[in-house]
Amino acid sequence: VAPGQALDMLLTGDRMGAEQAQRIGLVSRLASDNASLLDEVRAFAQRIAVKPPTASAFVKQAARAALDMDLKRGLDLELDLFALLAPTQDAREAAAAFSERREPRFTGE
Amino acid sequence: MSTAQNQQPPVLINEAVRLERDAMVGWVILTRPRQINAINDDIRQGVPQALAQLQQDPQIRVIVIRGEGERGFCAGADIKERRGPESSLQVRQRMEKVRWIEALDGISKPVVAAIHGYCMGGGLELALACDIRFAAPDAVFALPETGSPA
Repeated sequence: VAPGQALDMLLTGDRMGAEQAQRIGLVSRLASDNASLLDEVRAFAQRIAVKPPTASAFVKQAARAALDMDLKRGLDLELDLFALLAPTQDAREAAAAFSERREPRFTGE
Repeated sequence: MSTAQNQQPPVLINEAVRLERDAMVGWVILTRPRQINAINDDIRQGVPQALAQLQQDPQIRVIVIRGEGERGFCAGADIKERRGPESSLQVRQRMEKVRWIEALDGISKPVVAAIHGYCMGGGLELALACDIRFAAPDAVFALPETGSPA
């Protein structure tokens, strides 16, 4: 969220609805209705959960680190993490599943 | 998708926090619906404990935090939590022990906040410490701290 938006909320204490919150980037996803939130979140979480867990953890690590890194160091970190992942079983599984046109099954190894 | 055999019995961390495992997803649930899940010491201690358990569990790949009850995710600090008068030093020392939202920093797995209804003050801070925020259309966000008692 941009500093101006954050300070607006901090200084006024005004309430903000879900659509406005999405517009300013405070939330990234909106459920289609109130009653379906948990079902939609469950399906959403499951979609991330079937991805290779080490790659997810590295993406999170790199994105968080990028907040206080210059571009050069950020790209260095990305390359290091990419090199760590390249020889993993999950990376091979992704390539195999793609060429065999099937869903991959990731183990975290 | 989740199936019944992948669901394990819920773990009651304390009166204010419950942990559920559903297939590869771990759920941290705030269980003070009558107080709109207002933050008390049970929540400050229970959420980091639940997160630590899910972080260590190799079966769990994604974590979701949500609040129980119809009214909201979390209304912020429980201003009914009464304490005696404290000096600035005492406040600093007490709060230092429960910098609980920083527990999210130690979690390498993706964390999603599932937000409905009120998401205010410390509740919004908790949501902001998650990686992804997924909201219901009825969600309401605010940071009313400057006008609040504490």
